[in-house]
Amino acid sequence: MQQPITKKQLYSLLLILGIVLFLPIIIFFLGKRQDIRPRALLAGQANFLLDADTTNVQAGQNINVLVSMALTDASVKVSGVDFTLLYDSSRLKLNNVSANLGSIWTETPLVDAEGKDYSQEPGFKFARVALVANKNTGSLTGGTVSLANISFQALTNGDATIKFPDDNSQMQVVGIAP
Amino acid sequence: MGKSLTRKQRWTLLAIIGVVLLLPLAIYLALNNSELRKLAQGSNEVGIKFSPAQASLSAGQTLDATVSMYKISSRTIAVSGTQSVLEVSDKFTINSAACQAPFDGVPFSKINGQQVTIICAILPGAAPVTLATAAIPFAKINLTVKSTAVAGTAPITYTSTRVTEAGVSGQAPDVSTAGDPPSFEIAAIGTEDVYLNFSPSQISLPPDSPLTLKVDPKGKAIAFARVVLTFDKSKVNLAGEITPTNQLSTVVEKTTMANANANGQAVIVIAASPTDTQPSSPFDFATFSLKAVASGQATTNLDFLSADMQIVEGSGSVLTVGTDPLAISLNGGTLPTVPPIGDQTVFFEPSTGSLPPDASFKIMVNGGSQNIAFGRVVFTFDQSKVNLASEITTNPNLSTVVEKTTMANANSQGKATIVIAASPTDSQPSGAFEFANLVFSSVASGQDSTNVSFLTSDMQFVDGTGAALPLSAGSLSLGLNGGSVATPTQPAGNPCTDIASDTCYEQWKAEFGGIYNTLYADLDDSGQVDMVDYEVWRRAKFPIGI
Repeated sequence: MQQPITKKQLYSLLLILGIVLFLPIIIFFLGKRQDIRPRALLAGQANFLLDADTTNVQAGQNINVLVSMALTDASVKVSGVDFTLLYDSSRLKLNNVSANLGSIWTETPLVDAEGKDYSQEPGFKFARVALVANKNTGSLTGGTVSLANISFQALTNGDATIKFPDDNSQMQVVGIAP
Repeated sequence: MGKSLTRKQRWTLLAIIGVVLLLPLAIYLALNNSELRKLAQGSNEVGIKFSPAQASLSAGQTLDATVSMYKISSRTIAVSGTQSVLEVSDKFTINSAACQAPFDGVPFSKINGQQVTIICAILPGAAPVTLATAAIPFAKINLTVKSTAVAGTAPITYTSTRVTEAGVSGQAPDVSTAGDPPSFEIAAIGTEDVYLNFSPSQISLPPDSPLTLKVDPKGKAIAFARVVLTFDKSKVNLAGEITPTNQLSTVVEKTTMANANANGQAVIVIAASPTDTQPSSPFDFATFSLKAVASGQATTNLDFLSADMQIVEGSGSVLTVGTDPLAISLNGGTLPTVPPIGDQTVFFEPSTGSLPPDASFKIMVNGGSQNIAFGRVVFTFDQSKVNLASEITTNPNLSTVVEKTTMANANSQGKATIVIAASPTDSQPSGAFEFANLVFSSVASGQDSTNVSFLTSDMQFVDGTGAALPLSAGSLSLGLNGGSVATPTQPAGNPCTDIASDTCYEQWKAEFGGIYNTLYADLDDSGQVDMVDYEVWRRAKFPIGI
């Protein structure tokens, strides 16, 4: 014979059911609320790009490298960048660093073009540039932005490496993400 | 006694509860699915790209871009046609768009404002084109950078793409990606591909002075160059014929000395012969001499007529050109200060000084080739060490004084604001010019030093077109009462008690740049001063929604 459940048992069952079903939703929305607060550090949302005007040079010739950055999310706007570029010190000499302010950036608070050794990666020297956009959020730019032109002189013939540090901790991009 | 539910009623109730609770989840997931469906239109097996994919362009420059497709997938794909709809930045004028063979069998192109539609297909009955990883062009678009284009990105984006695969029975599948947008940048002053200047960069006449016109190709092999020089023929003349370099040995055109002096303009057009090694390192483009023809003290320039110039590299690409004019002093005239383009926009001249006695300092602005119509300058100083000794005077060519802090208020606050603008009858200054003049006096006791700094976050320069000048500034270092010129000193208090303040921003710059070793600007309490702190400041300075 079927054993009917009492109201007390029914309400207990409903409570447990409600907790089980609501819990993921609560967790989801809690998580979403944290994400809704705009992130300052755009970690993982920017790709740094290098474009050299030539990849085949003789000793004594110059190479101009355009450093730019592509934001992976069209809704993300950038307000500041701090990047370090490494170059093979046995093959290349740093000529100059020219930040591309354009209409995107308002200032370069830091340009290090001394060509110092990069201690974390022996054999490489570095140049470092920081750019900021002192603007309200609505005036910030997204997409692909130009950062700087960096000129090198080839010291010898052969292959030479120009790259960003293996450790991304030297690269920072800040802005506002939805 | 409470009424119990039957099993049938229990299960019915549970089913209703389940539907009610799960419905929002189902809706959410369905919405996500529809977003995914919206993004993936083609099968992403064939890419579409621009060539050049990236370029730095200057105002007035024309660009012939090719749109191509290339195979990403490993399988064999043969196509019959393709189409792209592009949104082109309003920094460009779209001159033409046309399909290229073999996709010009059934061509269609339309330019509607800044939108370009190109639909290109092979002739009906023709063999489909088998794609490769190497790009196959299907269209050409001709653009010109508008003369009013401001420096910065000039985006071109795909709003829709299609590449139709042929040979699939009963279907015309789209195998395209969403397209690889090009990255075009309108060059700011100082970032052009090629740089022209004179050596020496300034001269005094008389006596007659020999000059060298120098070109820095920045690694690009120069195949052709047309350079046009202009000068005030009532003040200076060529003292001899122009001698072009023999590195570009084909002389296409060269104005004679007589014609140049008659017209105040000289044209030099030279090109590489087949046996020439196209120069890619800095080289001497031409040499000539100048002589004064004016009497009395004067100054003048030898300028470039950029709009009538063209420099082409060996690949055929037209290069953007940056120039630096020649400053000429005649009969002892005082030359204006011309810092290299790309250096500080605003600076003190001189940049160091020793007080007493009271000394005059100019605030110089380097507008480059832009005519400055408006300028707002703010500077701060330690009023316990130095004071203004007189009222600030401003450039008469920016004759509308919008705001100017009085000497008394500046000395009270340790801060002065100067806002001046060109009236309709003013001649808007360009190049490096004196923005304002001020006199400082030492009020310190004993040997000391101090700095006068610009508050760049509260400053702005605007040219006649309304474009803002990029800002970078140099400070003034003063030695007082025999003290050595100031080195940066750490503030006594915390300038970032007001996070949104300009002084907090200046503190961030100093700490970020390693000038100060304090952590006042570590606004996120991370233990270091970095870009995150900058963003915290920016959001406080410019709250979201304003």
